[in-house]
Amino acid sequence: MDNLEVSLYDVTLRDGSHAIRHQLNVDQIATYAKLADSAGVGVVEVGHGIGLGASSLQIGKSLLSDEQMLTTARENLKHSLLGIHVVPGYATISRDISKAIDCGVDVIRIATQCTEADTSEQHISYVRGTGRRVFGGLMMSHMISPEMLVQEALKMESYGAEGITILDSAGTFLPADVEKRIGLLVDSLKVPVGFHGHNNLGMAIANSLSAVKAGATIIDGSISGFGGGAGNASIELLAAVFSMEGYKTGVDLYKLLDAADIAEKLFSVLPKITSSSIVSGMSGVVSVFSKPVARVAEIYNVDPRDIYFELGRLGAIAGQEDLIVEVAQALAIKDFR
Amino acid sequence: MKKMIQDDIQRSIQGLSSTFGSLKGKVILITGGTGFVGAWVARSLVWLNDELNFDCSIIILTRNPKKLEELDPDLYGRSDISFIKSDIRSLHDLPQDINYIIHSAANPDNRVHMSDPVNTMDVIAIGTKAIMDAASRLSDIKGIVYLSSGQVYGDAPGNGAAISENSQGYLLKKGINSIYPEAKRYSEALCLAYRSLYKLPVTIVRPFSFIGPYQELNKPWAINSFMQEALNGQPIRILGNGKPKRSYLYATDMAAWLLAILANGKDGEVYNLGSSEEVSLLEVANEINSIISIPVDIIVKNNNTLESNFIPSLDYIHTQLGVKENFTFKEALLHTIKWNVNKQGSNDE
Repeated sequence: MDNLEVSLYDVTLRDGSHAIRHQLNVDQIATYAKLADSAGVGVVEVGHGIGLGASSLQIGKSLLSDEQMLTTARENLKHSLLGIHVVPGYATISRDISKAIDCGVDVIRIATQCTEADTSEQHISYVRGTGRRVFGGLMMSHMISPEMLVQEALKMESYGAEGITILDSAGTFLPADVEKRIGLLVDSLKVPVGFHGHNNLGMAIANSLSAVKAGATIIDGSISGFGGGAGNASIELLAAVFSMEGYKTGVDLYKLLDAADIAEKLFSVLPKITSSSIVSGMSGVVSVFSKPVARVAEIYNVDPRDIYFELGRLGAIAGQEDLIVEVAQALAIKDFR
Repeated sequence: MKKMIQDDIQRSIQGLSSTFGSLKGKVILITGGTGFVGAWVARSLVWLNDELNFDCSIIILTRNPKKLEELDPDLYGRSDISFIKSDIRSLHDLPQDINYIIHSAANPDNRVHMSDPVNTMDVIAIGTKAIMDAASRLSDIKGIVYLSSGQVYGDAPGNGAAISENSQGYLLKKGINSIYPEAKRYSEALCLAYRSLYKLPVTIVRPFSFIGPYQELNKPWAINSFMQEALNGQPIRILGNGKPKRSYLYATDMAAWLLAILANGKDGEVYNLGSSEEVSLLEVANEINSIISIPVDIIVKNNNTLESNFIPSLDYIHTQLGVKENFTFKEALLHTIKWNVNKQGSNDE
């Protein structure tokens, strides 16, 4: 029953960066990397929330440089692999990826918006050439049909990706949505398929379980859900639920549960489901918009929920943060009239 | 390395060269002449000129002649090679003295097919039409060889049998994966249409897999990835179970067989081009390890259970044209690795 093995991909130190405005510090990275490593997590992903090379005034400046974050994590990982999240455009091969490899990165996930897999060709090919493990990621995967998602995933596979993860960046999927997409991907690809959930609608664990039942073998999670927006699937809950369902994750559940207790103090702000995040999930707007939407709604004195629904109608994706302001301004004028 | 390449060309060509008389003194156009296949054909023709006084003139059609200079400066600077710099799709007239054409322009890299599917189809379909139109206006055209693809047969047959030229491929329906083979199928039909209407002497070749010097290791095919990993001192990672079988014809045999088809192939016929020596991907990895000085780990990831064989039947080309494989897989691999090790060494200097 080899197919009952699931690899847990810990995004705490990357997606969690969103939850604290990219202010992860050395102590947090070192302490958590050690905890995850000791619990036997497969991959520990580290960096700015958007990914390597993304630290900027517009998106959010990291407290630490990519190099500082990666070397800190590297020093504290003995068994778990060190991973990074790379979005072509933010990170370049010569400036960022090669430097990250020099810092000792083992796994590189090249992620694109779900319709833009072709922008990952150079990056995936480059990483393959270096001998590091390379995965593909398709973000905002709810925005195209399951069939088109397969086409994009096939592109990444052809470039050399050794696994493809679909990201429910807006936390908008329900279990049946996940089952359909993962099932089609597993049938169409030769490489393993993964799922990255967000908890906007409280479905992150149910969706992840649905994914493994449909054949996914790489599942993302973060400690106590520490991640963007309403957070990710809690990795300790994933370990518990998968264990109950007979899936082997290779982690020490007690150590992961202990890590969750420590994380509560370590990160101080753990994500929760709010009215905004529910609306964000319903409207299919990326979770990382939560903080800018809250800020802009306050400035323009409009209901953030209206902003989400309008952004959803416009099909806004990460990188289009300017749209938040435009939508809020339009709503404010409408309210005034 | 130069000597190894000359010796290998000689070994592949010497048994066949007596049948190449029709090529003597002729003008031969190679489209895609800076690609792996085209450049190897040019190298073999040059050998015939140098060693057996064939006196062929070689014209290479390419968008970027400088690419050949970077790839193989010895070939680039020769007086018996000239260039037409053009995108094949915008080609109109060709020099009237051309007698033979090897049409090999098309990028076989499936990463490119995925990223740029419309352009991929354009180059194959419109490019083939442009070359056929131009060829139909030549006054003394004696032969055209069109390089199609073994992929026109569709997925490998379930029973693992070698694929003959008469195998019935089925229409592919996997969306983006079908872009390249369907364009090749269309172009095969287009060639036959020109043969029927304009009496062009077209022969179709369906290439399978090749290895040899001058092939970039950074290509998305298993054997290239394995060699790249091993030469970098990293573990060879086999994503599946290592059981699928492939076969690899050595570059100089590939070029010699293409010249045999050009000189003696029957127009309107289809020939498979490849090797019949089956090797599983795990055997490929083990063979690489047996050649390199410091063997690396081989990791079989077992991500899937595929066991497909994709091997050409070569009965027809063997019997019709008298060609044979002069290099075993192990020899082909040894020479390819030697060449790459030498190249790495010179890059490090």
